[in-house]
Amino acid sequence: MLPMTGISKTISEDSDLISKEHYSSITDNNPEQWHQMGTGKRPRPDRKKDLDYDVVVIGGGAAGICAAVAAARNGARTVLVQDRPVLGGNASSEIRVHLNGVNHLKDGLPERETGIIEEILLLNRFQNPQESFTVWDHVLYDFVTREPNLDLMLNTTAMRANTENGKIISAYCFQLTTEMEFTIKGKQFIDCSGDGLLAATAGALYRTGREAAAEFNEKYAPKEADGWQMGGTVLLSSKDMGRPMPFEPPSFVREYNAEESHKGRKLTPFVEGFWWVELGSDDDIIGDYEENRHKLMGYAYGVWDHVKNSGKFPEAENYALDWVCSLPGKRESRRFIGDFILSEGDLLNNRNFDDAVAYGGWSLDEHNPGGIENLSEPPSYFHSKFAEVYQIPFRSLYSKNVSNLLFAGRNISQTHMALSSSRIMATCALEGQAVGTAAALCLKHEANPREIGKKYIDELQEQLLRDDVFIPKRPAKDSNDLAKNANLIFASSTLSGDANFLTDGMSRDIAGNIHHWQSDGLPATVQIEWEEPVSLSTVELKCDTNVKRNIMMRKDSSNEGIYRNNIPEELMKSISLEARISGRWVNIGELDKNKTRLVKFTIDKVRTTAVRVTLKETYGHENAKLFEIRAYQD
Amino acid sequence: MNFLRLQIVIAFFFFGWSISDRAVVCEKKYRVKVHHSGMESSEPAEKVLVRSTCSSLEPVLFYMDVESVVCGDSQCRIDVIRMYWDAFGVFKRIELPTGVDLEKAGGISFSKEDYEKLDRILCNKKSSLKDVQKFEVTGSETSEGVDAMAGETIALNTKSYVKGAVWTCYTLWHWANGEVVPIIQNKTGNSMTVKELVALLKDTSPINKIFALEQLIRLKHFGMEIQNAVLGLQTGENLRLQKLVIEYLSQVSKKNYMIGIGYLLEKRNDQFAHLALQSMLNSAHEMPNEFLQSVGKYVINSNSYQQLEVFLTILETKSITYPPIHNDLISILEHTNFLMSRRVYWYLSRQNLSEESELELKNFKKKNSKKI
Repeated sequence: MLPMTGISKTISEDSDLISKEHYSSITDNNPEQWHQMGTGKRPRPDRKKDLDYDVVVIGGGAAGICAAVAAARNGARTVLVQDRPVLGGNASSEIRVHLNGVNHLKDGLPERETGIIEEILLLNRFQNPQESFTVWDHVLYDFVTREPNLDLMLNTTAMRANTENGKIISAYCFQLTTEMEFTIKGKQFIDCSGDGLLAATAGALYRTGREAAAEFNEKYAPKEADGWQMGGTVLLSSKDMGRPMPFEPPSFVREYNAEESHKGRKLTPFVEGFWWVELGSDDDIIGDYEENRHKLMGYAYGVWDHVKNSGKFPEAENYALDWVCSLPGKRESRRFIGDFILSEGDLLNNRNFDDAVAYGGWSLDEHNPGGIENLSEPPSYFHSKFAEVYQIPFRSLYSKNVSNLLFAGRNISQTHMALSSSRIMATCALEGQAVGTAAALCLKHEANPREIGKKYIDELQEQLLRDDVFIPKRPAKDSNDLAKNANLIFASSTLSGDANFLTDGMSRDIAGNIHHWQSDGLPATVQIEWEEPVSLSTVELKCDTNVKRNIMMRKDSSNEGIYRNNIPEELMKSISLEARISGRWVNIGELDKNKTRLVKFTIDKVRTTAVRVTLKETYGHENAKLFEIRAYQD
Repeated sequence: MNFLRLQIVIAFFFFGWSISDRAVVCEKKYRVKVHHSGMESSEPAEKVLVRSTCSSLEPVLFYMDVESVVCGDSQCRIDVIRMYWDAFGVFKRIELPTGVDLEKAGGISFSKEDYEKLDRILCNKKSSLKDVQKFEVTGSETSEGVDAMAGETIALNTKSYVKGAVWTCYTLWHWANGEVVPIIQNKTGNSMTVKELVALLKDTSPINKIFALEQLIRLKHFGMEIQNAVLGLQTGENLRLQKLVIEYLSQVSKKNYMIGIGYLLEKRNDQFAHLALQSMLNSAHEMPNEFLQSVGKYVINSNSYQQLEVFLTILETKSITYPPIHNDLISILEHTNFLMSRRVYWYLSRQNLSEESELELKNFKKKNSKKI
């Protein structure tokens, strides 16, 4: 039997969990059982392994990927443990939810996320122009497996935390495909799994359900606390077969009563399914999952049956189901308790946090109690939309009572009402990059996450900003950035903005203020001059990807307005870098077919008095636009 | 648009409408082909553009009858309305047939405030409607799944549309600011004398100045008097105007190009001077050393590192070696702006110099050995 939730194992010398005995009890018990025909031997399968990493990340969704990549890039030997055969979580081909973020604020425009999550979404535009969900899985696989310092374990469930003195020592994991038991030791653990089994078995405090309005003064919360958790959804896709297609529902179908349903459950467009085919729980939503899955599959087919066979949708005549989800995408279960619980008022009032490390801006989108079994209510209450993005503090991203446990995603320290907005995947991804970076800082300073928050929060924020995360109202002020000390920055031409904005610490136009420089035509140059020579080994640029348009893959492949389905034409494609050495320009870097907003030139150290960036070509835009230029000696 | 004004012009419009097929001496009709980004077809629409001099209040007006809506959701009522521009292609107003009001979702007529907002939207050439194509102007009430098309949330800045009438705003904006604008401008340009175009260069409106310069370039009016008028143009900090002046100069003779560049440099407007120097850098003209020396003197006096950088790059890329320029540059070694001194030092260190100049270079190097 697999270990049960809530039971943690405290390490002792004679514990079988760290025993050197590798013969597993999971498979063969009898030494004579396996006759290996190739060798003639009767070996016993070796099904136990001990692994050791700096940072162990559980959960391979958007948050977990970003956490793992951030930790690895910041110097930590990292492993990403994912219990599914594919990465991506709710956005994977198994579930196919759009990887939404701050898709649009009240003014109708996005404030799109940058950093690692943008890097992933851009890579998808290069590698997956056909917008295949299964190829998207492998874009994520490529993104993770190509990263030095990072190992990936798929089909592996972290079932139990081994703890000592309020700290996780190792994660006991089981890999389905190899029948292997792993004990993965680590210094910092990050639970991005959503449900948070590892964190729960470590003894981390958590909540489920809805807080009473009075507890956090939340105006959209119920008067009395209750157990309600937003549900999971089964999506589907259909396609036009070019000829009339009959539909015969399966035996487990559940009838959908459209007449009794709230009009918010829209049936058109029907091609890509219905997000409101949803079931939650007011008790143990994790325990209810399989029962809910069965019902949801029945409801999904029931809605499709209504579309096809009610006679009310003649336009569906040629459509047939092309894909139906078997793994409902989850919205809510455990919310772990940190040093701060983010609540509705923090979001609505745009509260400023000194330890802000991420942001959100999806509306307060609280799906209804009962889901599809509560037809009279709307499928979701869009309580409030945001005029500007809100901050997420670091204190909500680590455990209050397990000293080396961080989390990112829907399981962070927040109320149910805050979750109704922050649960969106790109927001979770920003949290992931924050905790991954924080975990690496924990190693550097031999500190726990709480100490990082208290003593090193500036360093954490500066690293995130350098790595192209946007933190609202927190400009970069990195004292190591040599570009900030330049005596002169100027450009060959300027259509808008100013070359001097490139060192103002803000890497996007925000709140009506311009922080960019845009050339007037191409090629264009930006030049930095220092009176005293400097030694340089890194030059970094933040170019334009137009954060006012969303780039996530959508089933409808929208390429209009705030959505796009292609490579941003604003993105720089070709850039060269020169340094002036002994009065002559020397080429020190060339980049072609660039695929990222953050461009890093890492070079052999040069002593120079000036650098010149030549922006040669974009992916279609006639001008180049930059938001930041940095230079480092490191 | 002032609603009362709208009602008045409706009456006028209707009169005009009824006689539109008869010859009107104060009107001239042109058959034009224009694309509209809302159209299904990639073929342009054939429209009749009318140039009218009938009004004593507005000497020249253009108008065109268009459909009020390129409907995206089959729920719109389409009216034919008249749009007006001035002689320079600047949108002025719309007119509706008597008894017709623009309609919002649910069949609700536009209010006075809606018309006023529509007027502001159509007059805004930089509206976010500019970059939007026909379909999916609307986003929707959303959740994590597929966003429905028929929802309330619009995938545009809310300043860009009248709520409930996004299709109307979208359609009319693209008529008002679309392909018909340069057609109107060229019609007007063709109808004006050179003298009239030159007179416009002295207009207070930058839009009119830009119009005049564009037309002078398009019509290749490069006479001396015109060149002088272009050089005398008051551009202020208007980048578009300054670029047009440079573009104009790039098409006149080499001699006059250099005279023009020299004149612009003398004006001591940093932005203009920078454009002029960049123009020289990119120019195929072979320029006499004496001219370059005069440019160099201007640059030296400008105390601008950026201008010095471009000037020396011109000399380097065009392989210009001219001792009088070197002699002028030597003084920069003592400049308070060390960036300028160092740039000149490295430039001169690769030139054949007099013994005296070489000595000055050596002294500079000795004095600043840690900074060069």
